[in-house]
Amino acid sequence: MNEKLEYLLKTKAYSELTEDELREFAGLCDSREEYENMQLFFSQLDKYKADQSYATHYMTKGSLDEIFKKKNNKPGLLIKLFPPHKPIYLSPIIQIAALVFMVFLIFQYVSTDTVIKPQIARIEEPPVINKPNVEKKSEETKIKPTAVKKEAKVMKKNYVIPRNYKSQKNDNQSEFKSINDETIAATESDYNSGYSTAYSTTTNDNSSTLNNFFSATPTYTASAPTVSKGNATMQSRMAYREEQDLQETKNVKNKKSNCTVQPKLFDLLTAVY
Amino acid sequence: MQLFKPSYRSFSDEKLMQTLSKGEKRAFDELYSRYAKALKGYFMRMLWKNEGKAEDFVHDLFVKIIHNPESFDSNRSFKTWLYSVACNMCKNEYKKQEVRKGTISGIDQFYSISDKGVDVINEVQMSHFGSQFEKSLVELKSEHQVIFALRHMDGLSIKEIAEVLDINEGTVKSRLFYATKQLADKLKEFNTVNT
Repeated sequence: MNEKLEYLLKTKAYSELTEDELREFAGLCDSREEYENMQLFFSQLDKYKADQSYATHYMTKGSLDEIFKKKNNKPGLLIKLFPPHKPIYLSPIIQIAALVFMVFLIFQYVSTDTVIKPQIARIEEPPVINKPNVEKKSEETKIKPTAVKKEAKVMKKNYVIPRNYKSQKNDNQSEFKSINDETIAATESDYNSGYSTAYSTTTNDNSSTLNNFFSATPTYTASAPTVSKGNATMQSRMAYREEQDLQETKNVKNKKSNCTVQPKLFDLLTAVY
Repeated sequence: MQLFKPSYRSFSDEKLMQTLSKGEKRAFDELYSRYAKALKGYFMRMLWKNEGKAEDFVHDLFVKIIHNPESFDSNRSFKTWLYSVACNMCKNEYKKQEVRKGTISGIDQFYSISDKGVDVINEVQMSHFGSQFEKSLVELKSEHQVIFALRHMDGLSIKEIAEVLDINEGTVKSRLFYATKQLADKLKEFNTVNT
């Protein structure tokens, strides 16, 4: 029995039914009497339904309202932070504060010990005095490759006493007198022949004269002078060692008396070292 | 900004359930007003006209709705879901009663006495259509009884009954046809008197 038959029973009389509708009622109500009996049954049923009102008890609704309130009413923030049924040291606000304090202390401890402050890596520059000298040498090597050898010989020449040293003593004095204005160049052939000094005049550069003087003066160089193996003989080495102290003292005396730059240089070196 | 709260009377059951799951009390009130009476009538019919038990079952059913609104699938019809839950509750109660039948206790005796009392009252009011109808309804097979009650007392469609009971629609139609014909035959004399 479907909804359509129920609708027909409630709305149509038996005489109003079509043949198709009567065919659908076959089995349920085959005659007019059965059809009308069925109609009466449904009308009585509707009346019965209207009388049947099972009102629920008010206590049921009240209980449900309480359950709903308990489930959905969330406590306020203050009640959550300061629950009345808990002691103060167990309240969430105290626990949160303690946690924050501990985190703060740990952060302070960690940050002072292990945190590496950012530093920029840098290479310390060499002393200002030596730098221009090196640069100048490199510039010279670019311009004239043969000058490198000559420059090295200048250093060697200052420490190697030539064979005719005594005859050259006065020349050395004059050499140191004019050291501020000139650089000394010595060729290998000059050295072997006994007279090793050759003078070459350079440009009168004020910024580089002091450094030239420093590099040419054996008294104030940091590293010990070396003598080339091929050209310096053992005799000259020994002579150099013997005469080194004498030469230095003489040079100092000469410079103190003749050169006004030397005290300034001495002060500068003492300040550096 | 909304100045006035919406009227939930125009809301569908499914929409009300969605609102209820968000904690809206008035949505729950609306659902209760729509289904409390019908459910109590359903439980009364299904639980041997025991009003106290029917009241408890209505309460338990709405508690389930409050605590687990997520259990309702919004794709389904709320009415169908509600009656299927109610039907399952009744089935569980039947199982409990089957177990208790084998025991001898004061409670069982109490139930038997009360049931007998109901029958006595029904016998006194035999002339009334309602009592005769209820008696005839109880005499039907349980599957026919349930389908007829769901269709004509609770107003569910055949499709909804099929979903609630999880059976075929054709089965529902045939059972409904059989129950209607039997009830109409049993109440024939009563209908003739009234006319």
